[in-house]
Amino acid sequence: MIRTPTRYHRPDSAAGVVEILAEHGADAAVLGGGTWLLPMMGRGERAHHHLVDLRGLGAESISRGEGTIELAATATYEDVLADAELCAAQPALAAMAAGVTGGRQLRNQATLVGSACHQTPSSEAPAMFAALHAEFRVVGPAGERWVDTDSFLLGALHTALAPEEFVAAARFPDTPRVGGYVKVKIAAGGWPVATAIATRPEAGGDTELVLGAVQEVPLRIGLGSALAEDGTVRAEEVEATVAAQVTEPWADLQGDAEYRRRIAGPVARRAVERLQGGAA
Amino acid sequence: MAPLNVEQAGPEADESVDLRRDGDVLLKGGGVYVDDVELPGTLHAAILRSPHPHAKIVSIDVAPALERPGVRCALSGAEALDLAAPLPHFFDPSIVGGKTAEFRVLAVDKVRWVGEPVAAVVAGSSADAEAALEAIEVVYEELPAAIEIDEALAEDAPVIFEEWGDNVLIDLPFAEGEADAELEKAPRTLTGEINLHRFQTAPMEPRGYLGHWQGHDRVTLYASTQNPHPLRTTLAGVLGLPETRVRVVAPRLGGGFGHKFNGYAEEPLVCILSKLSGAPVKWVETRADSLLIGAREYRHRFTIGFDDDGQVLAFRDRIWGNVGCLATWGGWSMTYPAGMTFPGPYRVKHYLVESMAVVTNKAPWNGARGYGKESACVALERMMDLIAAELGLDPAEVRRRNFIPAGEFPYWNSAKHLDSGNYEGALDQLLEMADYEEARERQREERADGKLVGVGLAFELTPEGGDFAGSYVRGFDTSTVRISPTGTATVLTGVTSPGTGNETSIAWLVARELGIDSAGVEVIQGDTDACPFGFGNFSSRSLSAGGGAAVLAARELRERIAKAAAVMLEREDPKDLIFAGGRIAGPDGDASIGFAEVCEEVFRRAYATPGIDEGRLEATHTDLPHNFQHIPDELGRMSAYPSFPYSAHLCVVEIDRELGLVDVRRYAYVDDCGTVISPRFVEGQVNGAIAMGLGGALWEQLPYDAAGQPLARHLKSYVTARAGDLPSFEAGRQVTPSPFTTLGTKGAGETGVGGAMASVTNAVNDALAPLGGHIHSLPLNGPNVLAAIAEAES
Repeated sequence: MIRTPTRYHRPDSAAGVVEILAEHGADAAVLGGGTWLLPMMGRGERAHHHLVDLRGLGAESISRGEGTIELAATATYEDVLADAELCAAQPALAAMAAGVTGGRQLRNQATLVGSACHQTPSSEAPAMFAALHAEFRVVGPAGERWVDTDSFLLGALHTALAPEEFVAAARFPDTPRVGGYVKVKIAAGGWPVATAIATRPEAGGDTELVLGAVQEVPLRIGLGSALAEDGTVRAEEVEATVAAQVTEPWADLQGDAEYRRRIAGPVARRAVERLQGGAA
Repeated sequence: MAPLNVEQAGPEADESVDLRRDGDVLLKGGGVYVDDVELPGTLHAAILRSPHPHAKIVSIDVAPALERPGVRCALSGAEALDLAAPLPHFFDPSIVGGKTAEFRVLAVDKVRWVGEPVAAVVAGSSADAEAALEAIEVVYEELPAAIEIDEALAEDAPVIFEEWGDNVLIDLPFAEGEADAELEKAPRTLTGEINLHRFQTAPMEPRGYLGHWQGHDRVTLYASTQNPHPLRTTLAGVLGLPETRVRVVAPRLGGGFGHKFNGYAEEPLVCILSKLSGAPVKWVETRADSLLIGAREYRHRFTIGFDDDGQVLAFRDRIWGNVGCLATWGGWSMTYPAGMTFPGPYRVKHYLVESMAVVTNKAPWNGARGYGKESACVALERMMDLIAAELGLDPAEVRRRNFIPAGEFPYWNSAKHLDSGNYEGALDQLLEMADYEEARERQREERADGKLVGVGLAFELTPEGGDFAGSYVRGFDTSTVRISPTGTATVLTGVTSPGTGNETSIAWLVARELGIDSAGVEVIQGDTDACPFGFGNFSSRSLSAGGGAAVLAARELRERIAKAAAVMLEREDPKDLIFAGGRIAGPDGDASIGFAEVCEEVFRRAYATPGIDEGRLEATHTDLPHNFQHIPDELGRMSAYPSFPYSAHLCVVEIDRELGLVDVRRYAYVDDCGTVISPRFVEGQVNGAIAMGLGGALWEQLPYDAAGQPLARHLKSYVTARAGDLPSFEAGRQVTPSPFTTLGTKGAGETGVGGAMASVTNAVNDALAPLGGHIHSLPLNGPNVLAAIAEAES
């Protein structure tokens, strides 16, 4: 159970959120779905005297701008799955959302932006944001700024957020991308030890490959000579290409570093095969 | 120990047993577990646990905790010395020649495992109590720790109990014949090893206690425990109270499995805290606390001697169990069945098994379903497969050639008088049911496609009903049946249920004896004020012993009621009356009388109407399997286990070659637990045991880091099997009744854990065989299997 006396805040404006964060710093925690934060507080692993619930902002979960799609901080996996157009345009995203461990109860509660802000290596959303070329709208006392994924996700449990800042939304180009998504867990109840996202613009272009849960932060794989002229990938070259680039594999109770290093290549290749049709 | 002359009491082929009573209550969340028990004014306890695996407690000051919000009292080990006597052992190692040690309710001078209780705080809420723990100041002087078996047995190992001189708790030999001499002579030998890791049973409901020290020095303890009566007895001693002033109530249990054997410090601790704070005090285990408790970690090194036909001539197995630290819990003793279960279902006359319990600074073991028998099963079944591989024989055939034949029961081997069985029949039934030939054919085809497909067999002999005279782990139990003037029956029994449904079966059995509807039979368990002294549930014996006793009591009452009915029906002979459908009738079928009507008459007219001579409809009986040998016979043989259910298992796996992940594609079994009272409950037990064994073999583990810290603290790091991980099991049944039990039952509940661990280990090794690979250390998870593949390919 939560053992710190905690004050719950539900401001109705971004400025209201910032004010509380600025006053209390690390003693305040931002609450999206709470699916990471609250269990950790219950186990005494984190302690905060202030919780700031973003749901009071009343943001629209998914909105469309000029050539972009914006996910509010409070957008859940279920919100994504409910947007048929989005799922059709980003099938890898849809696959990831549908397969999140924890089933419907978790999908209805947990938020993608929250997962990126928590940034544990074995999460799926961070790598997906990288694959989508997402940016995060960081709001703080000094105002707002947009931070791209690679600059936002800095390390295990470490993002570019200062204690008095929060992420209000994430946005990415509204460019339909065909995709292949593969996730590997040791057992159904565990967390991923490796994810691979292979995507290509539907209208044509180079395939991109991002690995999640293999290293501390999502790993963009430079496909180099494995890319064919038409932007597809020579699947048989993927493993070697990946092997050379996995230099600091993550280790945790789900799997050690050696295991992640070994499986990264095959998992990536399977994502490519899923994208391009083939063995998988 | 001759077979019984008593009419055995199992259901006829056309009888069906009830649905689980209270099933609807459970599904609607209406079950009352210990955490649901609410007493006015209840306070909550939190426990400060050692952060070190091995350290001296230099000083401890709990006073600062008293300043924290909501805190009512705080207690250290030194302060508790005057409040609680040393804790009795669940099964003291010294009873069987092992070393022992004294334990108090809270550590005083030393801590010997991460998690060992050091101090306690009571507050108005558990949040306040937990928060107050950080105010307690403890100064530790860290000592070197021994975490793994090799560290504990090394020359310069830190000695965990100084007075012992070493870290060997006990070394138990099980031998027959001349193993060494026969191994010398054997045409063929091979050596092997199997390393089983630490994991546990992870009951859905962790344990908890609510202690209430009332006026006039009366104590009531609500406990999530499997053994309320022994707990009451030991509690009285620890608290210094007459046992008449102590009451233990075991509410519904959400899983026992041995995890809830009594002997924990928190049992008397909440009572003492209640006395100190003047209110009921509740403590419930967190999942992190619960995951501290260990089991199942063994290392086997064996040598087998056999002939060209695959007949085992002799073997040796050296077993080490990392039992964690010694405690007063019922776990270290699993090293006994781990050795005693050999040679399992096989006819081997020369063997030497040595089972050593090694203490380390891991948290202690408590009982875990299988109780060491699963360990012996994995080793034996690996032996069979290794022989088969060596000789190019089918593994099923090797087993057939070694089974004790069906005609030779009852059968003696070391420390076991096997009751009955048809091992070959069970295996053959399994192979036919599962179409073994077709599975092998399919395997050949898939191997040709480069797939890593494995077929693994296992046969598990599961001794049950263990009786350890000198302890409170006994093989007998007692039930009272009490019938009311309105013809309803209440069964009060000393056995309890871990959630298996045995109360439903007991009610059904009694109703059947009396010819009434089981809705008219109430079963009361777990309250020491109401129930006769009994030993609770363990070793799969509750229905056998407690149900058997209830049947005997019901029969005595039926005789008495029959006498009264005969008087009322004006019949000569009460013995030919038929009890059915709530009525009592003559065999000719004409005159009958209501069962309730007769019961009422007994109370209204006893001693007044000639022939109705007893005004009491209550009977108490004790029952036990008549197959114990506590005193060595003329050949020096003893047997502490009376019943021997068994099961045959087949597991088909496919290994993802690139990821090392094992997919269990098929699982089939044939189970024989003697007479079956409720097929539904028995099947549930076997399925659960298999799921537990597969989960442990493939995914669950309780690792420690080099510094002695336990790493699996929640259910995302201790990953149990989920529905999507396992196939539907194909189930078959064989029935060889026990000649020695009232019901013909042998006990259900544990068989399957070992069979599953063994069959999947054999299947994975079978899958790796074409690569020349093997894996002899569990768990068989992705990383370990991939490493085995990589090693084979290098």
